[in-house]
Amino acid sequence: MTTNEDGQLERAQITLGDDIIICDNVKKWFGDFQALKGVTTNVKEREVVVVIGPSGSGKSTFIRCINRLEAHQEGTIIVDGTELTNDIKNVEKIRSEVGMVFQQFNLFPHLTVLDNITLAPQWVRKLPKKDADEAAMQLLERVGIPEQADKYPGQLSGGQQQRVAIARSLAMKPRIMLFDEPTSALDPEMIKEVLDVMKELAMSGMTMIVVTHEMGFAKEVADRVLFMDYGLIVEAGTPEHFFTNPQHDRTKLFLSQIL
Amino acid sequence: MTDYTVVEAIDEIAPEPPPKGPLVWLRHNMFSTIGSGILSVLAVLLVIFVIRGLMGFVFSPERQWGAITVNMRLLMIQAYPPAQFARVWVAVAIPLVLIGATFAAWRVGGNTSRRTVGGTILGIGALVVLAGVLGPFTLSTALVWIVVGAVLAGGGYVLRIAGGEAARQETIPVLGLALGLIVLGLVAIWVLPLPVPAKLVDGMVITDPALAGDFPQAEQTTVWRGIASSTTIPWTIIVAVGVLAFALVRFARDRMSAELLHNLVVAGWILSFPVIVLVILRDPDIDYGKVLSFYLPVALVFAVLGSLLLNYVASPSTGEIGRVLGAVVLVAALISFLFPMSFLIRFLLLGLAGFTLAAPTFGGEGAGRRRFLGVWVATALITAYLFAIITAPSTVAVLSAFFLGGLSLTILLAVTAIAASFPIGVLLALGRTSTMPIFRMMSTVFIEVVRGVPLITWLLIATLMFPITLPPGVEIGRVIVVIIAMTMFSAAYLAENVRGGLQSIGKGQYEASKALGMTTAQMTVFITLPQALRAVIPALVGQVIAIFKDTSLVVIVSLFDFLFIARNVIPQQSQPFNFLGALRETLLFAAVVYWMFTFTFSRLSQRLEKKLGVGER
Repeated sequence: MTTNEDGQLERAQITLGDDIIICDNVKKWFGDFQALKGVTTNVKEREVVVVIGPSGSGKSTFIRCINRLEAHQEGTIIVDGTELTNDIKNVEKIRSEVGMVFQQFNLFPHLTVLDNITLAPQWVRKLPKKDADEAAMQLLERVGIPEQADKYPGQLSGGQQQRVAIARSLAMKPRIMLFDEPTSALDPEMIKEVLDVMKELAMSGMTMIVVTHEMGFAKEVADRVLFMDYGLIVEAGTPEHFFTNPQHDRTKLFLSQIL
Repeated sequence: MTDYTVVEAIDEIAPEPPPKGPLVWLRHNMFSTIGSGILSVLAVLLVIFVIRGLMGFVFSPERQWGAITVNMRLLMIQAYPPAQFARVWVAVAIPLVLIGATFAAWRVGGNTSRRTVGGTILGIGALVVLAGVLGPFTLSTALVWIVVGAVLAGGGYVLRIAGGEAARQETIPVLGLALGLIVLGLVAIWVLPLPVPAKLVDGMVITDPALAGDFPQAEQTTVWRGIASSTTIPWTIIVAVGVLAFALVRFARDRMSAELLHNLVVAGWILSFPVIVLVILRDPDIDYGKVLSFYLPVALVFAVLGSLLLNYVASPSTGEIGRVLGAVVLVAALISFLFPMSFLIRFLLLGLAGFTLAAPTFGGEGAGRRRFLGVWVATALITAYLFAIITAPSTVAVLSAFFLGGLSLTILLAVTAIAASFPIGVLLALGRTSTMPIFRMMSTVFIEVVRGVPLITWLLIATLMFPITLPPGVEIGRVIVVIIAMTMFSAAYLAENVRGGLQSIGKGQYEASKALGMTTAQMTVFITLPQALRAVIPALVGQVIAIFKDTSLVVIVSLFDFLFIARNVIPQQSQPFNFLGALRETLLFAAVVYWMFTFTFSRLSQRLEKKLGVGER
């Protein structure tokens, strides 16, 4: 990790690896409604992909297909060399390698912050409790709230809860992190603290797919921006291309509405 | 001119609160409108009539309260042999010791204010005055009531207001207050007299039932006597032991880890009930020859071989073969029921199958696996021990069919049915919400069939029809059959409550668990079930209370429970004292006892809810 002259973290030095996620013509229906109409894209190791688009465009469905919270019906998704099928063992293996952060945090309200983070490493990764506790405390340091370890999620602010949720996912040492609108349920003054954690994560070389409306985040850290609408990737490109020279009419309209 | 304004934030003093006082309170809360004034007056009249009726009933000269005091043993434990009565006292002492230990281990207590305590005393005093005025007393007795009540109320009032604001400060330790009440209660049982029946023979008053039986024709009366020392001494010792347990645990809690202490106390509670009933009250006459030649070897073989198997299956590197082995053990266990074999072996095989199937999910490396194996070894040994003591004959010689009766039988039925129905109910709820159709269907059918038929019918089916279906030579006691019926009935209702809790859990919890790679079993045990149970505590406590009261239905199959003795046994006594028809006294007493238990449950659940409420969304 390097910093530029302002002390800001710099992403330019990170080199992308091979394809770690391969999506080919992914289709998904909810009843008669087709949510994904053939999504094809690959994500490289250490790449940060930001997915934007209007609500109902299928962007959440798309990333939820990647760890099979939703099952796609046609097409192929290959994550880290394993194809996603109905085989439950494959699915559990992939889920333990792919972290996910939700819009509503989804922390476990009956467990302390520390237990929220250590539960999965202890029982899924079979880590001894002591090691899991130590790793969890390091992660809490990393997201900046070690002092909240013994509190319950309900006692934390939204921003703090989302940072715990990120720490909880990281505790599984995932190779890929999915973010499903991580800041949409937050008060404006808390968005920054969560985005800062996500930026730090991006700078450390984590492969990330982020569904968000935070255009600033996209400009700053994304390697690639996908614009989705009607269940399709309408336009894809670098942030520069996207925010200065969008090609598709739908993209132009969307950007003009939110910028 | 500027086009902006700047405001400085200044804290102002809050306005004076409106005047307070009893009159203001009355006007606000009882007479705010004409309609509510009328309703208030009617309600107060109703309360007065109820108190008057109750006092008239309790203190009527016709009442034979001696029917209860002289029959207290019968009501509590029916015909338990007096020679072995020490066992009963130990059985009572164990829960008290555990209560003391629990209070200390969880640091129950805190402080209360003089204002609160004074208010309570004031209220009690006012009630005593009211009772004195409304009761069927002579003028002098009524005056005693009124004076005592007035002194209490006055003392309470002074305590409540003296010192003004200082009275609001929470400086009185609740535990000290509790200790004071305990001492007061002990003094009361040593000092206060109770009404007991007596025979008048030639001007002599005979209260001893053994002697009174010699004078069937003599006039019967009621006299006031202190409680016998065979009751007061054990109670004093038991209470002292309970307080001592509190003091000891309080001393120990700062010198050991809180987690260990809590685990010890919880283990004590879990073990206490089977130990009290099966070991202390039943006193099995264990055949040590058979233990050494059969039970112990079988348990050890299962513990050792089972541990080896589980050690292999639970290690993360074993993988899928573990579940296959679990299935093999399960099939072996089911087959064992087709051949003549000790039930101990059958149950241990079933248990091993369950542990093997759970091993890949809850095993792990190092300490986790060792703990898992430890639980298995303990399960095997405890199962064998339970078998040894249940199959052994009892040394307690009672004339009736079962060694317990009265309140002890009621408690036995209730606690066993509740404790056993809890895991079954949870499994049924999980089955009914499962994605596997066969489990869903079986659970649904079971729940709907069991809930659709009244408990009385199930009790009759269990005692009259079920024994016919057993293979020849197998006999199951009536109490066991009744417990099974009540357990199944309660489990069906519990299952529906738990299902409600499971449905209240948001989709996000499932998604978050799945996204972390948890299996369905892990998600259920660690995430959804704990939250579901927490959400339905009020309904679960309602179920516990309902089952406790429903135990009285066992009169239909002639079990001598508490209510049966109160309703059918005592009112038919004519010797040594005549209580024919003394039904109202015993029923009122039974009602008060049932209420004391259920009210305690309800209060405990409120505390539990509050405690578990910490950290809720």
